[in-house]
Amino acid sequence: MPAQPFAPEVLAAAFRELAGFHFLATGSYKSVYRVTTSLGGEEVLKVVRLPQDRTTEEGCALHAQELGRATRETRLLEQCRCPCIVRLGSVLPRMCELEGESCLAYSEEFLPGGDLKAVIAQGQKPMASQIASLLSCLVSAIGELWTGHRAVHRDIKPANIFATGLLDRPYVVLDLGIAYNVSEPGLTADPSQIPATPLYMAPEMLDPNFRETLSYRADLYSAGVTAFEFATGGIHPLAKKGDGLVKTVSRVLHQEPLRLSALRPDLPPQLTSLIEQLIKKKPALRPGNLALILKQLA
Amino acid sequence: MKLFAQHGFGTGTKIERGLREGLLDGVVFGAKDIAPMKLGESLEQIAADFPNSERFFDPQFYAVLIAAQPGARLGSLVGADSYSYFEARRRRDLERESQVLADLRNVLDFQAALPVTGLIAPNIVIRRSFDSVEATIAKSFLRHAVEAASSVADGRPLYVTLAVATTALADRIELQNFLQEITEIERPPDGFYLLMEKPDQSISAALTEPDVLSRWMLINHTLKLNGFRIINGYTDALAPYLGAAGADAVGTGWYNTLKTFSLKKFEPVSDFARRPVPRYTSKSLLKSIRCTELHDLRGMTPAVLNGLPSDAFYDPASGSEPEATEEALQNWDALREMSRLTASADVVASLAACRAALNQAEELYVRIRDTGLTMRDRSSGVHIGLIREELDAFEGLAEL
Repeated sequence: MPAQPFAPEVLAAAFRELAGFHFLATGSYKSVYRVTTSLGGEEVLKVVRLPQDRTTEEGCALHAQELGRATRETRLLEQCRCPCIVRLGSVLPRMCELEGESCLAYSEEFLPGGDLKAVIAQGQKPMASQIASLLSCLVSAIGELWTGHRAVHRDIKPANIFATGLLDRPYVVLDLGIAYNVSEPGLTADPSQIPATPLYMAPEMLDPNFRETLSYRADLYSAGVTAFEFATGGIHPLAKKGDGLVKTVSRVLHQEPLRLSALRPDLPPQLTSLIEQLIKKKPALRPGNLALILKQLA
Repeated sequence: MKLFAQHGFGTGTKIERGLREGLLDGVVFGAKDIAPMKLGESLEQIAADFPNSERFFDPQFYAVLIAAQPGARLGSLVGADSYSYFEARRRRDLERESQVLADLRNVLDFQAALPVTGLIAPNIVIRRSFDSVEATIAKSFLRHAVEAASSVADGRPLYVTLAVATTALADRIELQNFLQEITEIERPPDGFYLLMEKPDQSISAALTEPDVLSRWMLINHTLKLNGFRIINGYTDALAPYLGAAGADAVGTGWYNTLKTFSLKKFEPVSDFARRPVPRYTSKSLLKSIRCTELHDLRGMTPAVLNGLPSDAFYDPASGSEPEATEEALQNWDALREMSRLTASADVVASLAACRAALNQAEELYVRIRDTGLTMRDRSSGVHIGLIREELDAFEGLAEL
């Protein structure tokens, strides 16, 4: 169930350097607000409502999970230099009490444009250069996370990508909330829960021991599926409307994806071939040389 | 796809003629069968006579783990005029990263002084599985090769030996995990010198075994997808299929020991190999047949002949039997043509060409059978069915 948003006056009392507090969205624990800083700039305030029940082992584990994820996300954002990854704003991560609940809050830059999910929903088929541009941004972001921080985003999907319209960073990756650092202990409290979005999740993530071999190629898969949907104006390479979770998982594991080259024969074969290769089920079959991919897309 | 001579015992003028007649694109010298001084001279001569040729040196470091065995057949790798980098090693020595790095440096320093066009970093053979100490050592060689080569960096591409026993291919999941891992190493080489080790040196009638060719092709395909150049050593008649999967070059020699790769070549033996029966490689049959078989068939089913200039070496007047050098030249000529016919920029199209070639070979075997002639086992058409199955298996593994 999504977290309830906080009232603007509650937030205003806690964040005196900010104003506005226009509610944008909410997730399981996180709520997001558009705010104005004391310098007049716009930012996005993110408030993570930490699980409050710490009287049970499960409650403590969930609290640690959410706090750990938020801390890891902000630390990663602080360290990343790639323009295709969203930047931290003026509110550095800090604990606060809101309506008697323990929360972690921080801000990110406010980006122009809208999320890629909305763009895809328009059903338009983009030009090859736009698809290549999207993939370049995603691959650059994936490269920064992996080579710089040994991290896998794990949730690259249209809803987590902002189409900004900016020349130097046309697409920006958001929400590193479940990013996973392969050199750090896992944070997921419930081992039966796989933290990702099934429609965009790489098949290897469905292996209970996926952390053993997890690498940036899982993100490349998600990037490939995203690029496929973008290129086709909303056709997913595997799923069909109305599929339940079990069906989706089965398709991810076993079904041969649709051919982009058949759906978009007007696109350069090199581009359709690259996207088709990125959504191969076996990680080793996805091109792993990021510099080479970027060169192909240039 | 380029074709290299896999150098070994009994070279004579084979390599020089192969290069001169345009049948070869280069050579891979093997340390065991040439002394260091002679190696330098030979490479210089080839570089001078054939400046566009590709020249490599296989340090055959993989023999270090059997070097201590009494009776090990190490040729020029040991002795008075031998290779300074070559010493007997135990597996536990190579579990130390410092030893791996030292061995890499020694081998690459030696090669850097030679007029080779690319360097081949050493490695050991993964004989048991990809989930073994040997595999860990092999990955250590892969990971540190670029670092070791940095001291001799001069713009020449660096290839790292990846030697795998066919038995290690059995576990598909481990193979795929291994491929994932080696294509994610932080400082990757330019390419791989890929060797598939057989438990013996014989050439089977089927040319391959179940799950071997398909997985060998998968390794080529995966490495190619990741931007590596791949030289496959000791391929012989499997060259066209490896080319279809993405290989950039293959190497093959004249004796069975140079057509298949096996550490048996270095191990002690009680009996020595006999001189092989002369053979003719037929591009239409996709394998070689005995000269006597060619002699019997050429009148009734001339389609077994390649129609290439090297057919002239098999003069009917002399029982269709060539002399040894010309037999090697004919094999290269046929392999080159077979690989040309099955190679395409697109792997799916290449596989289709391979299947078409297999269908034609099958039809030719039917015509041969209709003549009443019986082919010997090694010359028979048993390879066709298995290779077809292997192509299907590869297609599945590569998700084509």
